[in-house]
Amino acid sequence: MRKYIFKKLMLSIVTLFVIVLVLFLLMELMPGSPFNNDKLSEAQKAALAKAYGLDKPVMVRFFLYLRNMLKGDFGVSYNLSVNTPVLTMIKSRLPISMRIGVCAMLLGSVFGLAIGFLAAFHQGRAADIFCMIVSVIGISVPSYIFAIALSYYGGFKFKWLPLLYDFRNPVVSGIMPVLSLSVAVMAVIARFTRDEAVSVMKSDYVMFARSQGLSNMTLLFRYVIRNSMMPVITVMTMLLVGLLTGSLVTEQIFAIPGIGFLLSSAITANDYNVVITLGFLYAGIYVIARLILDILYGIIDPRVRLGGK
Amino acid sequence: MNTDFQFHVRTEDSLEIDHSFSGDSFFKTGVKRFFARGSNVFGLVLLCLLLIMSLVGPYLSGHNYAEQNLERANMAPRIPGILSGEETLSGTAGEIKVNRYEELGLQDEYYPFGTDSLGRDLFSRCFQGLRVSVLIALAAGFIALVIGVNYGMISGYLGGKVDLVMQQIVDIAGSIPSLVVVTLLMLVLKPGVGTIIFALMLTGWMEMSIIARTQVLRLKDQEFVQAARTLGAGNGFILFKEILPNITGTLITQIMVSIPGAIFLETFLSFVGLGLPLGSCSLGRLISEGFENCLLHPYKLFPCMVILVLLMIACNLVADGLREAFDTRTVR
Amino acid sequence: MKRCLILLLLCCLLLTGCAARTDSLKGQELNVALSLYPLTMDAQMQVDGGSAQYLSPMCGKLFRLDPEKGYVPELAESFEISEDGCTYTFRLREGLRYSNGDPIDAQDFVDAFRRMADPLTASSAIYLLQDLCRLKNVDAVNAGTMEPEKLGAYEADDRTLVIELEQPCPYLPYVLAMEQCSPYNRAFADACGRDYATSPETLLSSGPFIVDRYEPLAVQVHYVKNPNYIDADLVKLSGITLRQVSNTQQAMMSYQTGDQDVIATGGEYAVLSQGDPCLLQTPGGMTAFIGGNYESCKAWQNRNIRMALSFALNRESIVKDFLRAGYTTSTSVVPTGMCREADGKDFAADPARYKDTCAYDPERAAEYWKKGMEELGVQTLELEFLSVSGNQKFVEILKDQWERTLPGFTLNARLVSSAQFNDLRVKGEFDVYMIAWGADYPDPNAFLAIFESGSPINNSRYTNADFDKLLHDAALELDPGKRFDMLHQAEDLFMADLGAIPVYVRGGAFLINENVKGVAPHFSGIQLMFSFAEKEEA
Repeated sequence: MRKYIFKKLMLSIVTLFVIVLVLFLLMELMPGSPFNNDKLSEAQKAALAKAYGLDKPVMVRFFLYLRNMLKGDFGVSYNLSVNTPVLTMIKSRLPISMRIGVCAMLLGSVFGLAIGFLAAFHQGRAADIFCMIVSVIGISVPSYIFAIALSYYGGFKFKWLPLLYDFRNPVVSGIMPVLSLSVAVMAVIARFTRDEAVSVMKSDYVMFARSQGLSNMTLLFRYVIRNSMMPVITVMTMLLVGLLTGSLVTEQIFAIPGIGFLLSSAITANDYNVVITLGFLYAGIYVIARLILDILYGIIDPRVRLGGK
Repeated sequence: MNTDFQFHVRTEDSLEIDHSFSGDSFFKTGVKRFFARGSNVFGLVLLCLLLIMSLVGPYLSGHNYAEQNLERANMAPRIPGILSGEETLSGTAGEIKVNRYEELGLQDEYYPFGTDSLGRDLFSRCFQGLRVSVLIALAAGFIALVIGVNYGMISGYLGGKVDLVMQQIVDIAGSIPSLVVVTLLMLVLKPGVGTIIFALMLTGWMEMSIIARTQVLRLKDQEFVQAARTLGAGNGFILFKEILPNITGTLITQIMVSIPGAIFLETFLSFVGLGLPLGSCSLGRLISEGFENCLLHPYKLFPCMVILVLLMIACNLVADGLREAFDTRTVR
Repeated sequence: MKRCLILLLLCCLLLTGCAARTDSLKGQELNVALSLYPLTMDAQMQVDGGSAQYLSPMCGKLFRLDPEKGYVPELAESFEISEDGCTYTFRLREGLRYSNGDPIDAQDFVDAFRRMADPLTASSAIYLLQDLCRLKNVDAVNAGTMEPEKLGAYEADDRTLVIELEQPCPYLPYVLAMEQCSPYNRAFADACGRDYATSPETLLSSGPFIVDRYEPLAVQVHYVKNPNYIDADLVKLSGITLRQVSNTQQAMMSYQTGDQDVIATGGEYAVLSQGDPCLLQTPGGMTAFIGGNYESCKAWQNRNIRMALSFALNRESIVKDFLRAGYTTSTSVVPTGMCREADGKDFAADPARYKDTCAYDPERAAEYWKKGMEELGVQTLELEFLSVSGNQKFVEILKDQWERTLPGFTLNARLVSSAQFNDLRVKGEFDVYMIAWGADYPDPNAFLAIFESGSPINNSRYTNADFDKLLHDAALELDPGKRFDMLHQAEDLFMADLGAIPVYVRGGAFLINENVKGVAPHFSGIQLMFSFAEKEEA
């Protein structure tokens, strides 16, 4: 067991290292210098490049960056918000994106699971067709279309909720973004849950249990939910990571000061450090989520860790 | 009532025909299964309609999709007998009613979807956009397929150390958020259809390779492969002549699945301002342009959004149907 | 397992939910939505309009801009100018304090200047001292060859500040009214270290408002009234919320639902405010022109080609049918309604005064084009047009109008991010480009000097010895009448040569709720001034 965890951990670390290297090299290819201002003279630019260590060779810069990163120092922003530590910029934004992402996730999963199980139990009947329609629409319609529709009707036409995110009232002004993000989550989870639950219900042990005369409710709670949850949780984790990275347009529509907004500003402003750090953050969340899932799987299901050999 | 034993009574919906012993070929059974479901047929008809419109649509209205006419900017839709071309704006000092056709004295001019802010016909643009988006998605899916399938088949077929290393590479590449990679690439390379296809391909091949690998692992120890090997067939022959034809169904399904994803990403890129070069139009470009003032002129956003959603629904339905019809796991 | 997970998620939700503040807001609270956000709140480091806008409520300056008088003293009581126009002596008002209670004295202003000039600060705002006004010894101090103490700004006593210039600068008070010239409390900044100006705790206010909520790259900044401000009794508002909305549509909806009191509007949205008395249109501050590369682009060097490009542009139609409210056509690089001469007359009173080079006339365009193409000896011409991706539609219009009128012409657009755009245009990697230029002070020199040879902003490398000489002489001229004459000559020369093709002038269009009074437009950079506004409760 310990060996299995150690192996997974090492793999994750290697993955993270390669990701940093790739991101760093990609940024090297980026055109433009980080100091964009016509009011700067060439001499000033050279001085700035020296101050930020940009005059050194690429490899040296990479290892310098890596060393500082291990110390928790991700450098400062060059031109997005001059001289502000990147970490400070992310720290104030991550909680906002996190909260909205997690809320959307929770809302979407609750409804998605309910619809999915309902459909699985009523295969081929109205509930199942409803589930299919919901999931196809939810997957087919981009979340920003829901966002636009919501902000028009909920915010403008009927004035139920504020149109723009407001730090003075984060809960109420966060409702519309959460709703629009949760639709896709709900659709994916509903569909996945249905498929998993159906395959569990077709399995021999459920057939057997049913032939023993167990009630539907008992079946649901004792067998179906338990056995179909593990893959569903995997999907949920990946969706959560996706919500953090993919809510960029939604953040723009509702003017939410989250990390999606930070990323798009950083890309347009050529702010190397911010882009690398955010890319690393996204990848890091993903890798860690996968690591936790892998270890959990290993604990729960011995076939996984033995099969890995 | 208590009896010693009782037959488990099968209900109507659990009765199944045993397809394994019917004489039809794998392909034929698949087609039959596909057309047995109403939603699949609906999706396929919808998809065909959209594809036909993408071919002929740009020429129906008599206006070229790229032709500008600043004077005729922002005309509301006008269809004889249905829409008068009038629009009501909710102004800051009360409602404003505008009919640009009458203002300009255009009595016999009909723009069924209206015009955009440069006076271009939105009807032609929508279907031209549909054509471009579908082409991008198909091209990206196809290239990703070629790379991914080769990679996955080789990895799965050779196995061992090679497989381990190759899978680790996929793993690492997969953990970098595709959004970050694509946006950075779009900034580095010259904007254009080629760049978008390249960026989409770069994120799409991994999934293809994983699926191809799983399929190869499943097939490589089966009898017909072993038979071919015993008869002295080389690795290349086995991979491409024996295994590849057997996984075609799965791969076609995967292309169908990848189209909505690619279109999603394309619309997203346009939204962030990293889309196609000037003069061309795609669904993503149209949506982001329409979004800029969807409150003012909702008709600019509505048609292209509906087309996008219909396309996505059609692709998803067809992909679902194909998966169920051709996925060997569900064949009983 | 599942229960644990859900419990964990619920905890997260609760924890983040706890951060919610729902304090009721008392008094007059102004809500403003603009299109810009601050890049930095460090006054001496900023050079962009967004930062200046967000800094303006918290920065006290020697002078404050005034819609009627141009400028009025704010922290200064009075000032004297020496006869040669090069030495200014300012007397500060008594009892000036920062928001934390520290006194403001002349040394704090000197520190602000030294900070900008310090080579280690590497502030872009140095152009204020190098280009806008020639502060004495600024080049040497900035190059690190002279001690900062020798800079031409020093403290005579606590309340007396002396500024020495290398040449006269008639618009110096406008420069001193910029946020960069607000006092800098060195002791406070040193105590904050690297975190200076990144949070409300590390920001110090010398102006009417204190920043109450801010984080780097904020899209929403909240201000409360500064009780220590010298003119605190003039400030009627108790707080301001200033936020950035990237899409006019969102701002418009938010205004119509009553969430915002003041928003920036314009373009196509102007149609919604037709006849609305709340619509405020301000004269243009930004002049947009098309420039070409005089060094590498043979076609651009040819005056006939430039004339053809200018005559093929339908500026009227572009402004009327596309850009709409807030925009006007222009025939010169100096915009109308911004620069006043000594007698109060508008320097560019007639917006159509350069009709001979800037008008819409497809026939003349074709004539010039034919001549130009013959001179170049080519049948077809391809030019690369550099612009930011936000201008995409505008470039599509240009391409359409040019290619339609000029046979054999192809415009290849190169749309890039604003950062790349700045990089490429400074390097001169373009045939043709377009830029909108805003001035820092309302003087024609601000618009003409960017075409002087050697100017870092002269990206098209335009050189004209006569033009340079006129500008140089004007800078040294003490008599305002003669000075403006020279500037007029320079403008005439430039426009006859068609060194750049002016297209439009961008002004502002704002919606200000009728219960808000005292919001004043600013001539450039900053969009609006609302520190002294009043809001009646509806």
